[in-house]
Amino acid sequence: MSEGAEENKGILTAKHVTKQFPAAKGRILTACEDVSLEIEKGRTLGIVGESGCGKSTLLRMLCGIEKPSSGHIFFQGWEITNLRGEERRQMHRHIQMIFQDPMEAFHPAMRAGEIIEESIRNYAAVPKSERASRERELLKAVDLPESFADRYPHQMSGGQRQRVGIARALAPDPEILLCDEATSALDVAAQKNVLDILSRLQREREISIGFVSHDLALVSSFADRVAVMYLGHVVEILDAEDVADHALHPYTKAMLDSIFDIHMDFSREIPVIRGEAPSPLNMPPGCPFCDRCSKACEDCRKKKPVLREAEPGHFVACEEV
Amino acid sequence: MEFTMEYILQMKDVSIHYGNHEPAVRHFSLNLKPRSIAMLVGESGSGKTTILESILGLLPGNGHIGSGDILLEGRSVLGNTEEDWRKIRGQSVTMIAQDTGAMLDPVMTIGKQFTEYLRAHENVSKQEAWETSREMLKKVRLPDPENIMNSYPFQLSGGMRQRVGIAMALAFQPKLLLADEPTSALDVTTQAQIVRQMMELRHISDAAILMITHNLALAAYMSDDIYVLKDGELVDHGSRDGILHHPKSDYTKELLAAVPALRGVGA
Amino acid sequence: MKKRSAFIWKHKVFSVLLLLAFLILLIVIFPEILTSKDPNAAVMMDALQAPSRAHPFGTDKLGRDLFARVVYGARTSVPTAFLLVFLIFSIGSFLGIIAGYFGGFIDALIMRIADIMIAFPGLVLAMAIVGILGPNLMNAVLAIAAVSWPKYARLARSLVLKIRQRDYVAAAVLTGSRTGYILRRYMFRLSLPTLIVTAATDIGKMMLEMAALSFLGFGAQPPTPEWGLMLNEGRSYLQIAPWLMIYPGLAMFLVVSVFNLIGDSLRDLLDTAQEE
Repeated sequence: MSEGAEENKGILTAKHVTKQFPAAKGRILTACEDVSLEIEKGRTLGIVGESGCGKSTLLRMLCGIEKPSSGHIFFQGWEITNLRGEERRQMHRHIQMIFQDPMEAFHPAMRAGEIIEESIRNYAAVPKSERASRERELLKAVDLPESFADRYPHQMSGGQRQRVGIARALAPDPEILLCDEATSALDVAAQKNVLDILSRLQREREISIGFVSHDLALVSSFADRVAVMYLGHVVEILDAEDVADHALHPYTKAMLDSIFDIHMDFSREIPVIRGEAPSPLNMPPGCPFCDRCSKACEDCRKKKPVLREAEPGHFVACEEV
Repeated sequence: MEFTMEYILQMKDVSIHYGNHEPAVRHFSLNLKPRSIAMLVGESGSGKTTILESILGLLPGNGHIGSGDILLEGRSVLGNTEEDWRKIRGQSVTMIAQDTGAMLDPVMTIGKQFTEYLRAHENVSKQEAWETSREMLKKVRLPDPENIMNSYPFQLSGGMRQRVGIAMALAFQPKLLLADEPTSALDVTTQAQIVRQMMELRHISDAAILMITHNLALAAYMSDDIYVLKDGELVDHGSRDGILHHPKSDYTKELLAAVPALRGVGA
Repeated sequence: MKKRSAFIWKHKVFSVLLLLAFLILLIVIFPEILTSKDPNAAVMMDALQAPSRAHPFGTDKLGRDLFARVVYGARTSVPTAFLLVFLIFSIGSFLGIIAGYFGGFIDALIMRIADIMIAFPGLVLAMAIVGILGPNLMNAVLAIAAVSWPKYARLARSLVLKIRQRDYVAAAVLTGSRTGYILRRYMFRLSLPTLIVTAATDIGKMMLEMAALSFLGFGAQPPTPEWGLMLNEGRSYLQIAPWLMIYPGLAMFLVVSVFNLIGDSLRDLLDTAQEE
């Protein structure tokens, strides 16, 4: 059970995880390729990338909804890659998820109270007599009044729904929360509110967070560490505070250049990277970014760069920087 | 001598109601000069889309303009008949939606849709329409326009579809281009491409742009004028500098504070 | 109470249809309300009489009162149709949900069996089954059930395949819900509206199928008053006693129409409810 526990300070670790889906006409869609990363205890890992880069698939593998085609996933040194049945069910209580579209994430005919209660009841850690008070406590933890228990999802605002989602995820007392674009469907104010709740929970309960988003600015202000994904590959991992000034990978830099910021130089013409991301049905043999990269050379097209430690704690998958 | 209008679009103290409810937009005024870009900023439910719809006479259901006036090229649109609207929509005023892909017919090639769209408004031959279409796609810098003409919408990426939408919207050299969050469904790098595209329009067309966005920084980058809306009311209006550095309303300050900033960048 | 009258007012057609269906059920349970005559009492002297005050629908070749037989016929047709729909609804939905949720081998097995059942012309297979089991009403029900459940299985399966992809199912799995609970609370509960509408429209159809089997002699046996059987019995007297076919046919037409229309308006009702 404890294999792989050695050097890990990571509470949730992915090692060389690849996920492929069969596609039409016998082709193969590669959603994630050889991804290795870890979420550290009590800290937040931001995973950022554009649509179709495989970040959501990665998250679903980390919490066990999807099984990787190859590679391993460890929770506190316990390999959880291919669990089944009751063992898998017991694993889920440690790793909970918050979904992108909170409307999609709830049974349309269940009240908030039932939704949370379902989660409390399933692991029976709470005796029947205390369930109601536990439910109130969870609603309070996400700043919702008790009366919300009687509301249906469609009677709430987006931000309120997302908070019910967090309350449900907290019910089994998980060590890890995985958030899949948890704030991108929300207005700015609701977004800030949800993020505040998440940081508070992290402080109070030492919860570790995996936070997937397409918004690099948001991720680098919220997370401790940031992993940048492009076309199924992790191309750079670094401390969040280094993102703005010390990012090395050409793709990370291109993303940074594309961000509109209220402190930016408005006379500057925003640089544009050429072309479109290749299809995950046609994984290029070399670097996934080489067709759009200004630094690409012949070698880049042939050989896939691997993550290397460019500076202490700063990993980048590019040979040219 | 050519007569130039001072304003393409003027909205004077416009209030918009749905049925007998409280107005969805209250006393909204706006002036838009040729070749200028104005932004409507606000959260969902603030009435941004309602304003765009009112300009095209497309208010859904029992929506109606309760008071005030809307002038397109100096002419009030309030008394417009369906026939008048038909001449305006798609020709002198066009619209780019949030996801053009959803508005394209999924079983028709881009080329076929584009030429049919042109021929529906103008009496041109298929050949001419095809040429114009390809020319327009080239203008919005789509690579290999001929290939795109023969593609179906699902074969294009979101960014490419959005550019097809822009190309179609520009085909009749409109005086006014309305855009409803044209980049919010796109990735940042693609968003940058589209923003560049829209700003280059000034070089290829005289169109004024009225665009909705929730991204204040993007609004600041693109626009000459920013209108901040909250719950149907105009709470702030001004130039980029005015809004960013001397916001009048607390709401604008809140919005500014909520924009996640990249530490260090450009500051 | 206010709510109910508002509902009736808003859905006038549906409410009227429901009232009609209720009346039909009332006749099924208490046929004595409409007629005091015994549907099986043969009076040979009165055979093949035209409709009159004593016999509003006339009499058949054995002198039995046709009105009584048509009324008591509802007692055979309506409950068997309900039983039949209940059977195919339960079997089909259950198997379809299982197939859709688990996929793989179980799915292939169930759906191939369903395909085989659908590949046969339904009535012919039903006739074969009844031929083996012997002709009576119960066997006819089983035979038609055997060829009709795949429709529900396919429908339930396709619904479940869609529901299974939704985030709320992933959320239920993550929060530790057990498979049985997910099947019940999510898969079944959320495909129920569509399945119910199909079942409601099927009541009329099943009535016709049962009548067809009885008409062919594979269903209800004489002297049971059954509309299909009565049509068959009246067939040879079409020239001299057309009422023998007209009235059972009319009864069938009315009852089937009512249930079909209920199915249709139920669909409209649920569609708008879902949109809201």
